[in-house]
Amino acid sequence: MTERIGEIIETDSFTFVAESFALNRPPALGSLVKAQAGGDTWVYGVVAFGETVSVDPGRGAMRRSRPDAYDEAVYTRHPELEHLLHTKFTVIPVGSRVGERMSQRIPPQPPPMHYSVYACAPDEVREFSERRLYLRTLATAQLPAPVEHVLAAHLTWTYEQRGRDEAWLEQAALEVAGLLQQDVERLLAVLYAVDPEA
Amino acid sequence: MDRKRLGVVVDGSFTAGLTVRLDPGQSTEDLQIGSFMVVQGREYTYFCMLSDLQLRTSDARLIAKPPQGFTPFVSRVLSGSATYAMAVVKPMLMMPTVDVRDDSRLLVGQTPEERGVMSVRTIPMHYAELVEATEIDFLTVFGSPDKPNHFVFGQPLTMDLPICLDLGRFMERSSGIFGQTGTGKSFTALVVLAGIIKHDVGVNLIFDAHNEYAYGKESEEKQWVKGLKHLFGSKVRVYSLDESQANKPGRPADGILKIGLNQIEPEDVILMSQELGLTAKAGTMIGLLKDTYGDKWLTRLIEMDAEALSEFCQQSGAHEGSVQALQRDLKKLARKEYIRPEMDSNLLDEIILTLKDGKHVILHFGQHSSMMDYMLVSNLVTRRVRAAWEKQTEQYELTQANADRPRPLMITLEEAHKFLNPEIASQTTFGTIAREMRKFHVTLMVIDQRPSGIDSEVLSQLGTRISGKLADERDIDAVLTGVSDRSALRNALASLKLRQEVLVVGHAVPMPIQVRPRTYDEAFWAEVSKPTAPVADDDLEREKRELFGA
Repeated sequence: MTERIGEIIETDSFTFVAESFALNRPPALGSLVKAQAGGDTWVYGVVAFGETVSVDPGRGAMRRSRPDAYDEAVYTRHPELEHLLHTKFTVIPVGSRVGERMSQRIPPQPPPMHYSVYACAPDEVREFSERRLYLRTLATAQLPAPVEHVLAAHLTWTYEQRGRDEAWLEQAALEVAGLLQQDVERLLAVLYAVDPEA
Repeated sequence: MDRKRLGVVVDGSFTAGLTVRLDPGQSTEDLQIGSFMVVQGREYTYFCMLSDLQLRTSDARLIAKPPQGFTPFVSRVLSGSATYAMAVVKPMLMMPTVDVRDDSRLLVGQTPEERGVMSVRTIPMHYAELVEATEIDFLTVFGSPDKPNHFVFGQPLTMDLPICLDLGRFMERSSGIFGQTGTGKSFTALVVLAGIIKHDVGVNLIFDAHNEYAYGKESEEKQWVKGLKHLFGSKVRVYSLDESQANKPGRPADGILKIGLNQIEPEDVILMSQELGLTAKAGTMIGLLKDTYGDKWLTRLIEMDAEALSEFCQQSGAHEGSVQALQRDLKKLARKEYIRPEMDSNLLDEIILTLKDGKHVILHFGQHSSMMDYMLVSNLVTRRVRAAWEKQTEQYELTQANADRPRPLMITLEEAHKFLNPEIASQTTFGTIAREMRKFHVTLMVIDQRPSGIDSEVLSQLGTRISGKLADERDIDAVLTGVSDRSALRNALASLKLRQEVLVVGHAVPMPIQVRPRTYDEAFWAEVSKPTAPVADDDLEREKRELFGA
């Protein structure tokens, strides 16, 4: 079993938000994660957004650094920040698994509130990304961030997880090129970002 | 046999052809306009010609501002997605889809029709696959050399396998060999003629204007090639106009042709109006002369002194100055070395008998190779041959006996536009042959570099056209007169290389195809001049016994 990295705090059919267990360290943008959905059902999703904000929406964060204490020292001097701030990440569901059956359909129900989010192991990433139909789901979803950044981040991350699998990257890039062919500026942004030869 | 996939059909119409989206990674540079390809529909396999290639982009911004600084990765991904290529293919023939692994079934039929190939009547649905043609596709459509009268004419541009002409069909209608200078028209003609002689599908009468066919010539590679007389010996008889050149070593002539003034008809002279510098009124005066003197009109005109001439003019009402001018012009004819005041028709009759006997005749002009010599003699000889074949056909229709059946005769004519241009095509023997002599078993093979100079009515009657590269739009139009799918073929014609590539369209091939014709070289000579019928084993045994004893 892989590492638990967060707990779901907002959830609907097309997106869920989890609070990261590590302050300021949400999972990488574009990484594949999975959420427990009860029994042997899992929801796979791609991290599309990460943020660290004040726990109390009414009280925004404010400056804490001093000329002689900044960055990491701020946290040492203010251990209460661990409780005043939290880090959240948004996940776009792109597939699911029931028992051993993996599919690239989004699950019929959203993952339950307060259930756990896990990182995916490289083998699981490899297995899930073997077919690339989910890229279409991702590219057409309502994203909290520009689609080209999410796609580029996901391609680069998966390429690394698959042990720098250039063939996969090229096929995936072609798939993305097909999806974004009406909008060449976005497409080129993805291609320049993922280009392993650059 | 698996065919390589090139793309899928995404659009198109029966009239304009199918539009195919090329697969990512399939470069346009690997495809050649005019090549033979296959589209696999659900029920039918379509045999097509690639008629156009187009570059497209999915976003106009790629055209307005082409991105720069590509890495190979980016350009690989873009080509085939945002930038992509379309091919337009024109289906020409189709057949019910059969398992291509079942090779044997496809090749049994003797004709394309028997192999299930038919003209195209529909188009496939979306996403039918475009694939490369394989050997089996070529053989299915174009037949293999073991079929009757199939003669290996050349190879497709991109593969090494035989493309056959059906010589039986080739002889059925008039044909044309076109191409600008240097495209190898005469070598192509030599290959076809050798094939016809070898397969014995008919007899040839060849007017060898440039002294190329009888005794060969020097090729562009500065090699001397053999002529048809060298290859086929007694099967080919050469009649020469040139007494001095004939019968030099290696150039045996079977007869020296002389022409009598009495054999020249008004038609022959009018044909040469331009060459002789005749005025428009000359025709009328020649008519008057012919009415007065009959067959001897030309002899009499040339012999007339001033007194006789004015007497003739008074009697007939002709203008004296014009007749004088005509006499002056026609004296040019009488001064030719091969012209005699009077000749009997023995040698001309011999030529006709030779042809009827199944031997091929080449008229060799030697040093008399001016356009005037050529036109006069060809027209004069052809008129007689044509009359003989007409008579023979009438005889055959009467008796319906196989022995009376006229042999198919093909007349090879160089510089055809001189005989078949729109002004005179209706009057010359050649015009008549091209238009209506098919029923008398006489056809023309015209060889020309300016097909636009040939009457369109004649062009539209051509059954098979073999054309090398043509640059002039009017010539391209002319070659494709009366052919369907002209726009597709126009591109195929324009894309030919200057040398050793031709487009074959028409009666002798099931669909148009670009071909590299066979080289007319040692290997070819050896093949065509070896006896057709293999020597039976018994004969061999007997010969061995005679040679070596039992």
